[in-house]
Amino acid sequence: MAVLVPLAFLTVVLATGFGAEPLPVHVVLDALRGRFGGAPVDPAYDAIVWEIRLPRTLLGLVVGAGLAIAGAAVQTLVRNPLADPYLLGVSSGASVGATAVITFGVLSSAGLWALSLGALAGALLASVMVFGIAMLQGGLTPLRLVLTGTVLSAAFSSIASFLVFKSAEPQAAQSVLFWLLGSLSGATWDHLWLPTAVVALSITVLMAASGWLDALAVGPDTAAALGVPVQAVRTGLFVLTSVLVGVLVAVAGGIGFVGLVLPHLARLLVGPRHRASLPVAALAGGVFLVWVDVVTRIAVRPTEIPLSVVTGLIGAPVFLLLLGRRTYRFGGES
Amino acid sequence: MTITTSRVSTTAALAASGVSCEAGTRTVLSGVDLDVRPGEVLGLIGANGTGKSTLLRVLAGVRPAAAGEVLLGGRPLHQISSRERARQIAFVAQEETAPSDLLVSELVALGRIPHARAWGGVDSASRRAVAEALRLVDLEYAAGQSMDRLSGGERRRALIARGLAQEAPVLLLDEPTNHLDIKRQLALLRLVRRLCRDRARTVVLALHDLDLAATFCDRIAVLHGGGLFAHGTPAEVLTASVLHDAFGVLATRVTHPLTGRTHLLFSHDESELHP
Repeated sequence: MAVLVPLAFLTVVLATGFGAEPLPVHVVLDALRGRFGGAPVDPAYDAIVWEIRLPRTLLGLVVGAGLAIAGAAVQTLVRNPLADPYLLGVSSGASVGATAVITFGVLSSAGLWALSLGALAGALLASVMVFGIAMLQGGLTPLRLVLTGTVLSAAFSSIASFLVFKSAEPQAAQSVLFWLLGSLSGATWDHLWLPTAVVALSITVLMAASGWLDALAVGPDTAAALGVPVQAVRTGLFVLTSVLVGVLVAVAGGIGFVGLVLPHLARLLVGPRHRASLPVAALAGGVFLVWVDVVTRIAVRPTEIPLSVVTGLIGAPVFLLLLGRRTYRFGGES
Repeated sequence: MTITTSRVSTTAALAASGVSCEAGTRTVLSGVDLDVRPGEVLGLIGANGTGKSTLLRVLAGVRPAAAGEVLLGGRPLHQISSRERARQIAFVAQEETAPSDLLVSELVALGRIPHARAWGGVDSASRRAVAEALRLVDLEYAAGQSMDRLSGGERRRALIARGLAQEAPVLLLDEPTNHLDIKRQLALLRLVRRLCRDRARTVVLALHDLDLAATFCDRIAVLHGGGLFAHGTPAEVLTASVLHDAFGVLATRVTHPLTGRTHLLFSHDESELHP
């Protein structure tokens, strides 16, 4: 933690310098100072730093942090180290909403917010369905959640594919694919407050319940014996991760690997207790995604590549390295 | 034949009144009346599948009773908040799968959850309770090790230490002697007796070893045929006829030549006894 907090600040400042027009650190700092009562800087630099790059960098920090804690929460909820934030069907539900917006112009009255709104609506609808089906079958048990989420994900993906296939828009497939793989290019200050509020609230709630999460990771009977209201905590975790991931997907699309790998990285660094691992996962996830975003901006100029292309390329070898470490067992038996 | 030497009383530390238990959709036990007196060690015995673990879960409040109710100090368990219940009853299940990278001291510290505040750190009382629990099960040397480094017996003792760290007046242990060598089994059961005598704990144990049950329990409850089959002191309950009905074995009582205690010897059928 003592390392990660300064690292996060440093990341924000340094990453803001990267882009189509590289800016030296002192220009970034001057531009920031100019905004907080310092001497005014060249309006062009001010616009690049303040209006374009800083919101984007901060959004990366927030989304990365959110995905990492969502991943940790879902892994604890379903007691499965391979779970990721999208396991519960949220992202594929969002993709149906987003695809409907892109291909058929649904919600076009909402203007710039249409895509986010469509994705959020799809995400929440999918969550409600997974929740409803799991409850009808007897409750939110780990296996039932995994299976219901996986099956509904497949169904929603089919619907999204069908929408793309039926679309008359020639660019639709490209747009949908780009959205599905995640991007921070839509970042503005207006888009920042909702994810920031949701991520901050989620971290606060999860930290307050960290003891309960530790108990739940040992097993439902142990948790119940320790006075944890298991059903209520599971329901709370489900609702929290659904809203959290729904909002993140709505603002940044589906970003793979962050929510799967970062919780393990945090565990490896500070152990499995949520009180220690959640803040580390959040900060590391934020820093990681900001740098991934930098790579997507400068790797194939002048075009941008989607985030998941880079997270996958980095995440897969990291995960394999973790697998290869004999001392790390993803919290399970070897 | 049913021997019941006591009725459910309001002075019981923990009592079951007309309790039925389900495992899945199958009713395992019905109409169980059982009282656990303050400061006693009650042994729960029965053949495989007679519902020992299920009954312990219901007594611990981890699972609801299908019918009837469990009383904790005379109050219905379902009226007590889960947090308050966990301060009063500690339950250690037969198998618990702790995350492999959890440290032993961290696992034991989970026992402090019912006492912790949402944002509170680890206070000195918790630290003391964890250290004390580790000392009681003789596992201080392993405090800093991760769970996957432990042997089966050490893991068992760590889980029991987690229950002890709860510092609850009532302790429910499901086959606590599993995986332990004979010396550790005796040490654990002596510890249980000491907790009852010195700290007024009330303990319910599910045990498979009838001889250990006879030696260390004040009273014994025998589960058989979907209910409580017999309930009383070891001398009253562990008779040849009860054991024959409940377990399908022939039991012979013998006197230890040195200690003078009564022990049980078992044989499968009559022909073994008259070769």
